[in-house]
Amino acid sequence: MAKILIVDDSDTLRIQLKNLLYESRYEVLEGSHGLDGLGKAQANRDLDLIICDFNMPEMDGITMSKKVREISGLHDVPIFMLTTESTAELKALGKEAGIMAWIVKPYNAEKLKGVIEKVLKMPRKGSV
Amino acid sequence: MTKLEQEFFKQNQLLVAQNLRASHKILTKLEKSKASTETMVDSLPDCYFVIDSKGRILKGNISAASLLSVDAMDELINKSIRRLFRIETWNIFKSKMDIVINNNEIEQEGKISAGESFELVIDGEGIEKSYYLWNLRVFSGISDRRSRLICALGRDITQIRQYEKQLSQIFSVIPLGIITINETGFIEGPYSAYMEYLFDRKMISGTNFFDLVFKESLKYMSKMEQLGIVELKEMFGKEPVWFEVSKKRFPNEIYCLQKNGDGRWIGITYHPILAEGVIAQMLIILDERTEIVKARREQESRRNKESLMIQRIMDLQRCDDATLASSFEDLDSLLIRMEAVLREGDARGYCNILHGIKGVVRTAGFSYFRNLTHDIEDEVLPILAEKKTLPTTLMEQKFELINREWKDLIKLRKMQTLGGDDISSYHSVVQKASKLKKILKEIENNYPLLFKGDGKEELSKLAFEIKHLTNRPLSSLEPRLNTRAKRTAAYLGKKVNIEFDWEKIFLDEKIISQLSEIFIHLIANAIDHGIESVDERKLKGKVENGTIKIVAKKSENEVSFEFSDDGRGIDLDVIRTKALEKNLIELAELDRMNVENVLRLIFKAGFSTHDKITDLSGRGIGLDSVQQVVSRLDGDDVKVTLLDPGMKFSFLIRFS
Repeated sequence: MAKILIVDDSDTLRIQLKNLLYESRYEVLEGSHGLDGLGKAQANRDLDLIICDFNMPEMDGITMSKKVREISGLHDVPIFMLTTESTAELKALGKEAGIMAWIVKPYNAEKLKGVIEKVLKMPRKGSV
Repeated sequence: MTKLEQEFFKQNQLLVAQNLRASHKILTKLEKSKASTETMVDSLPDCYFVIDSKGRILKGNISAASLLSVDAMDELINKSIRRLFRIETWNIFKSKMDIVINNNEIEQEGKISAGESFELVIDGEGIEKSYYLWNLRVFSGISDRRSRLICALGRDITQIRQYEKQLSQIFSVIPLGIITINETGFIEGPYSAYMEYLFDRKMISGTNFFDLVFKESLKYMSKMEQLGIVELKEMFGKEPVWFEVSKKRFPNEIYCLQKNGDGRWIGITYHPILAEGVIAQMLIILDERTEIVKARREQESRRNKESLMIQRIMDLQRCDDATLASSFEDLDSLLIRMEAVLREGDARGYCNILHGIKGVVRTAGFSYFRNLTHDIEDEVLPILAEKKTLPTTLMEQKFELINREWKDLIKLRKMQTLGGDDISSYHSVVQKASKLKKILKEIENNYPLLFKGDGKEELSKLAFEIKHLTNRPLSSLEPRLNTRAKRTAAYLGKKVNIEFDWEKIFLDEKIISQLSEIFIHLIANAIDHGIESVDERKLKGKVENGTIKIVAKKSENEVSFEFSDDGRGIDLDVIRTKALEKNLIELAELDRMNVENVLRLIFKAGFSTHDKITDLSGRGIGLDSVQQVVSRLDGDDVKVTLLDPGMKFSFLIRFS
């Protein structure tokens, strides 16, 4: 069973996303801000995917993603960024942090499910 | 002199004058800077000497003068620095001077020597004893042709020493373990003396922190805390943000066993020490928390008790009056019987009654009581299975627990009904009735003539009524059995109806309560094993509701009962396999058995066809206790017959 971490400061979005992921029988972990998310990642190094918001208190999504990459075992974990706006500037920052996909809110549930399924099937760079 | 020459001379003179002025300026500047350097040196708070190799002072500053207690700096000259020291200390100072001179010769030119730094006490006669940090180096401001001069710089560290001493005193009395660990996990430098007390060993410096603190306590830790230790080890050389992220998981309260076997709770807090933006060391503060943890646990348990009490009250309120009344009645008689079997030392009987109590409280919905009995069963049944008996102390102890819970429930119910105590009033009636019966018997025995004379008919009638004062109709069991069946069925997602056919049969209260126990077992058994779920029944073309029939017929001194259901019955082969599996019977013996005897195997203690032990049944307790109660009521073996559909239990009881 794939393990997915959702990091977002909006409770409603987390609940929505969690229910969506439960439908596909994924194990879901939650973080309510960047630092919290980083802590959850640190404690769960077998994560298969991280979906995080950009604008969050304590630590923003890009910084968090960069930090996550420093955790051994998670340097190649796929990370999705969930934002309301995606400017070219932001995307350039994200590329540096190794963001795999940008999802612009409001998202299409079915499409998101499809993308997640596809990503989870892909082999990770680090796993030989 | 030509005019040109004159001109040249004049200009030359001018140039010389200019040069002279310039040199003079430079000299004055130099003089000034020398003076200011000297003032700086003179006003240094540290004392400064230039001495020759014998210790004769060539120069000194104000601090030096005051140290040697002379009024002016000039008076210092030609005095000896030896005066500052006792002869032993002077020898040390002298040897340091020699080292400096020798080192300087070895060292190459142009390299500035760091000199020699050391601590040495000033203890000369007539001078206040104080601690100094000395730095000696060769004085290079003078040519080497004369003997070497040494410049000595001394700093008074008496104050610092005192602070250190105070600090270490504080460090040794403060009831906290304070240590720093480095990136290898080893304990560094000074640590508080309390640390040695906490871990019951000397010399902690240089030992591995993780071995010292966590090795023993690891087995009491949660997964999260164990993960925290791994993260803690990885923390060094990282940015402080990782500390923030991980600190929640670091063990903050550990349990350590001491050499004398007592446990001790130790609280731990972590403080990263940064160097160049990364965590270089970790300051760790440990404190003894045994008392605090104990107090906290006590408080928690008190709070638990309170919430349990509330739970009990809620349970009582949720239960409907009829069920509550019947459950209390059942429990009362079951506890009395339990005490009796306890006195007899009948372990199996004890377990049967325990099971009965569990059934009653489960139906009534007394959650705590149910968990209690469930836990007790879990504890005693394996022992019973292995040793075929139970230690008396264990039985007494568990009975005490059950009895206390029962008494608590009674108290709570009394509180709730505010004096409307129908249970005890009912019991007092029963007690009075049985007293009356005894008196009547005495009258019959002692005055037989009374029943033969006039008015004997009235007297006989009265006697009959007294005799039957404690009798109840069997039908008084119906509401209780109905509720129980409905609840059990609902619990398993099944539907069931009970049809009773026992009108106008009156039996003594004591017999009725035992019969109720039998039927409770049979009903639970039928619903659990016999009657199918609604879906399964639909598939089989049966009606949704399962039916249980209870028929009783009374003749003079006995009552016969038939209990049947329309469920799936029981598979003979399953009985055979299970009986063999559980070693209840030998294969050879089993082969010789007829159908009826095979069916009777289900009455053997320890028999159950359920693979899983459920809350309800399947522990192999139940049907054998039915047989026990029947035997106690002077009945024969319970007969089992397979019906189509379902099965039937028949038995009779006798009374005098």
